[in-house]
Amino acid sequence: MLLVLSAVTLLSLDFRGFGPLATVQRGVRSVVAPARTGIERVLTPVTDAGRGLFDYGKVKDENKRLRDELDKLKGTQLQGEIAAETLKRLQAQVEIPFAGDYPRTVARVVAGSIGNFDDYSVEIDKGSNAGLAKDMPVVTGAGLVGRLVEVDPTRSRVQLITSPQFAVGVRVGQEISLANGTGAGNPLRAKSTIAIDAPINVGDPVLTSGQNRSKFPQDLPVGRVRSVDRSSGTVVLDIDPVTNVSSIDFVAVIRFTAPS
Amino acid sequence: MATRIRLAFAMAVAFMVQVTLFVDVHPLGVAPELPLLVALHCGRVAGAERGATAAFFMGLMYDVQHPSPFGLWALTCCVMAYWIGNLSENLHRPTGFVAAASTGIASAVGVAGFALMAAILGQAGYASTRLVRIALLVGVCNWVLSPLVGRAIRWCYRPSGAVRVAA
Repeated sequence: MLLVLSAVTLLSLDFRGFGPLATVQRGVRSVVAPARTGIERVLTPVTDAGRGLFDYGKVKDENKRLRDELDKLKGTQLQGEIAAETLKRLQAQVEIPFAGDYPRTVARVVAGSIGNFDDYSVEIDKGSNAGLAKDMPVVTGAGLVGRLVEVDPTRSRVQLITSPQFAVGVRVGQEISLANGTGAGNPLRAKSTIAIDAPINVGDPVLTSGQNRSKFPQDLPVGRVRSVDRSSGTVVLDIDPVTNVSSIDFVAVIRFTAPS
Repeated sequence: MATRIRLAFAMAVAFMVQVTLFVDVHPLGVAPELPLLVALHCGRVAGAERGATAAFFMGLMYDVQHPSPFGLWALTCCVMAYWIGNLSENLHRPTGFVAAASTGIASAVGVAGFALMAAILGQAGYASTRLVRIALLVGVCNWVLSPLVGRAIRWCYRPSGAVRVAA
């Protein structure tokens, strides 16, 4: 009974955001981190063998999907180059501050989810020692991947954009229409304040809005509209994230802190 | 004292294997829950009360790394260890295949209970349609690993200075 009460007390302290508890957790994780890194390195051959054994089908499917993707990319490369050149000229003319101007820290994804219920987070090999802080946005070359939810001295945990607990303000379409996006597994789902007749089409780009003291800077690419549902009285968008979060190796953390 | 040291060592190994090897290797598509398996064997070998105490600390160790609310694994592990310890003390102390199978079933129940408690506490993504599949497959994985972990936990609780005598 005493143990159950202790566990319940710890749970309630955790929910109240009791500072010393988080500090102790961070401290223990910092002590464990070097051992984890060492053991991970030693176990790499075993891990690789295990992956080959248990994930063979998945790897085969992934290989096929990547080949298809590569073919498509080859086809659109030229179009992309032309669009990039146009954007560059446009930015030079109107002096739009590009989100890429914030300082970045490149990090490697060192671990996936722990246990069976956390499919929406990964661990990276940089932490507060590298100047990272909680809530900083995480991106790849393609766009937004997530945000930092736990920052230890040498490691951090990234909550992925597909997490049901992930929230981001987005803007969609040619006209600036704002929405609140939340992760819904895959894809991202945005419900919003968008007018029902807002001109939003499948394939429209979705960017971070950067409004209302957002945790994310403006104009980070989030994804593209997969479907638009206007049947419930509000506009509900399904968005295909621009980054395939299931296969990321390197990310960049944007050292952006939300305005207070 | 020696028992505690051996137990702490076994728990540390189980924890490290869980947060390193089983982060990437998912037999049958799920990660075995070694801390829960250790907790169940502690309950079975040491009895309800002593087992629950050890299980509480095993769960607490896992809570440090697991992204679920802090204390939830400690609660799950100690309740499950107490339950299986009580059953073993009062009803039946299974051995061999039955012991492994019952540990697998208890693992599935423990995982399902953990996920449901997480959902009650407002954690999204725990009580999803995948839960039944995850619980069953964790049960199977823990069943397979049960003889190995059971042997390790029996070694931890072996009386100090015990010697094997040929009959």
